Amino acid sequence: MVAALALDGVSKRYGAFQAVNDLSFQVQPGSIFGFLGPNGAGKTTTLRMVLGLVEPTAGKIDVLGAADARKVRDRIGFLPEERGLYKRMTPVEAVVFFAGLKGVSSAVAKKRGIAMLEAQGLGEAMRKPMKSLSKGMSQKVQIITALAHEPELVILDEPFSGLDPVNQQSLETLIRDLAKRGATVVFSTHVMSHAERLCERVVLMAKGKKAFDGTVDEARAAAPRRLVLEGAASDEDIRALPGVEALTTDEAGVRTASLTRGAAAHDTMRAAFERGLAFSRFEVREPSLHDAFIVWTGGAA
Amino acid sequence: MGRLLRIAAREYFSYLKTPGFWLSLLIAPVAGAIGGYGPILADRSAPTRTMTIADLTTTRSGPAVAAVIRARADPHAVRLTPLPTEITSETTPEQANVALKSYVAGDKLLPDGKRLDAAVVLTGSADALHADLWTREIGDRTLVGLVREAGSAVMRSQHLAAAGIDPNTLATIDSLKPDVREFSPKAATGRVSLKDRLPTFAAFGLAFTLWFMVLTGAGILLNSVIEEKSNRVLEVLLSSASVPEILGGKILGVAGLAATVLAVWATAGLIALFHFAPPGLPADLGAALMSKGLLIEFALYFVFGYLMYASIFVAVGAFCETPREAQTLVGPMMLVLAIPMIFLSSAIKRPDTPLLEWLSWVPPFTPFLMTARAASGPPLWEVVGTLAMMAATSAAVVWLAGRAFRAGALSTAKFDIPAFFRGMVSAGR
Repeated sequence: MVAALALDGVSKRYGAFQAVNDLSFQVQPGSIFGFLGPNGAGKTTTLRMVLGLVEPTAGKIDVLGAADARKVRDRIGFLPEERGLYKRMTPVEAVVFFAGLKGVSSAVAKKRGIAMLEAQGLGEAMRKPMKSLSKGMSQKVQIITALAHEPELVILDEPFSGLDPVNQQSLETLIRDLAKRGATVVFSTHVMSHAERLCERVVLMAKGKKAFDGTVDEARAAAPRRLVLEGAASDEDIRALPGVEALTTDEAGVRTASLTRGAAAHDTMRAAFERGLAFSRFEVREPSLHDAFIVWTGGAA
Repeated sequence: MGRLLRIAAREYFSYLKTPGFWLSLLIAPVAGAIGGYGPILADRSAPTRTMTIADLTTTRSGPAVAAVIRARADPHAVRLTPLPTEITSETTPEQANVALKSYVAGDKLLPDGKRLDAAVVLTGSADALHADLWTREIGDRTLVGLVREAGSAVMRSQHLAAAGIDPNTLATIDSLKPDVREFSPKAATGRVSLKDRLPTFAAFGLAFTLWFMVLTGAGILLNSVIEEKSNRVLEVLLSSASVPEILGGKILGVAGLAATVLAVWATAGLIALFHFAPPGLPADLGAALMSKGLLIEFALYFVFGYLMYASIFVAVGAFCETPREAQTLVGPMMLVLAIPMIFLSSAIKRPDTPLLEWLSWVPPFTPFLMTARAASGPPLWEVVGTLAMMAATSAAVVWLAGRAFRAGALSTAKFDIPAFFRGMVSAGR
């Protein structure tokens, strides 16, 4: 299958500053792809290179089969990190204008725009000027303007920032629906939980370099499982259990044991019972993508 | 092309909806009416000034001075009134000055209950008149001029009469004027008439129009891009259309706005011309505009000049989030734009001076000065040469501005001139 997006050895340098360094990854069509990393990791620069807004210093980018995204810009939907629309325009006018730039006729764009705005609960606001809308409403309108031309590739730069939990949830649903209709979704975020829920594959970025490229499960597998323990057993007894690599104790006296990579939690639990160790709490905690990120980047941010 | 036109249409209609557009549409006709009729209305509405003359001359020249004032002054402006009775031929000049000062100050009123606005104390003789003028309107030089003119006429008559010239002969001499006829090889019939001067006036008008359109259009473009930059719209625009489409669309949209304003003003001007101008003048003016390729040259210089200035202002706007940030470059640009205005009247009166010929080859001034000089028929090589230079310059500026625009649109740094020129080189890439 031809990748919807493929980067090969892409670098971007601004003077002495290396914003992106030798980045390669592929995004399969119809998938939801997470591009993760802290602020300043090179995510926005990479997305701008993908869109053809910024030229790479080195490397090759292939977008929807084209070597230059500007040739297929009508098939791409983009939500920038810094968002905004014309303040005097109404949401319907904004959708018609931006979809029009992507080659959709005004009549079709208006019809689609009204349907999408109503579906997002903006029916009453859609004929009011943008400046009278709340920030959340404006962000929804902007997302709709990026999608009204039914793009094959949707690039969302930090789409969840500034949204309240309810709207974050509804955006997650929207992203899943986009993938269901066959669109490829690439989104950047520094909040790992969204990627954890949505993505099949992720790239973890740190200081302009790729730290990890693979599935969410593969990423998490690199991080240690943890056991949260409460009870009378001594620290020495816990450290002596099979698989336990390290032990920490928090202010409340709750101890957390990190397991070595590949260690099975039930082996540790069985050994604890066999040795008669007393625990009132024995909780296995799976590693999160955030834990994985720390491991993959060595704590770099 | 579709994207360019969509961006142009948005630019055009978004500004059309603003109160600022309608204000700018009305401002010129209203300012013209105020400028033309304001002073006349102010004069008409002002009450007629009352003035009196205390004749303390040895030759009793007061009536003669009064007669000249009556003959030459606008009756709406000045009305001569009799002296207050307390001043007689026995009053000394010092006493007259003191008495009349109190009338002019409003401490005393005339017998009819009105205030005296000005007073003249005439002393000396017809050979050497001396006048002290009392007035409340220090800023207005009309009365002092009138008194000086009347006194001068009386003294001149006195001297000529003393030399044996009788008043009738003097009146005849004064009315003598030579019949001067003006000829020029550039005039259609050889003899210069208003019709021959019309192309010069038309060229001046077109040069001023061009200047106005550039100034207005550049201002609108600058603010429009600054608004898009501060509203974070530019990055979405860049992902939806190419830089030439965005730049072209914006420049075309604002040119449409300026053209709309101009069309409305031209229509208002034509209506005024047909109502108030002498018959035949509108047709002569039309012929003047069509003559000597004026309109064609204007159109070409307009396209190149507008493109050049508009591109620069769009590029500057892409770096700025507030108009204040833009001031570092806009200020010098405005100074550059002011220079051709200084030379515009010289370009009409003496279009072939070496300085003007030289300035006509400086691209920021070329469109204005060459349009103004067009009526005088500059050499063809100069017209073709400056047009070719403008075509090359505006193409280069549009290209560089496009690169700067891209760099500015994606930049979050504050605007400064080095960043602007670095943007031209790197194009943000």
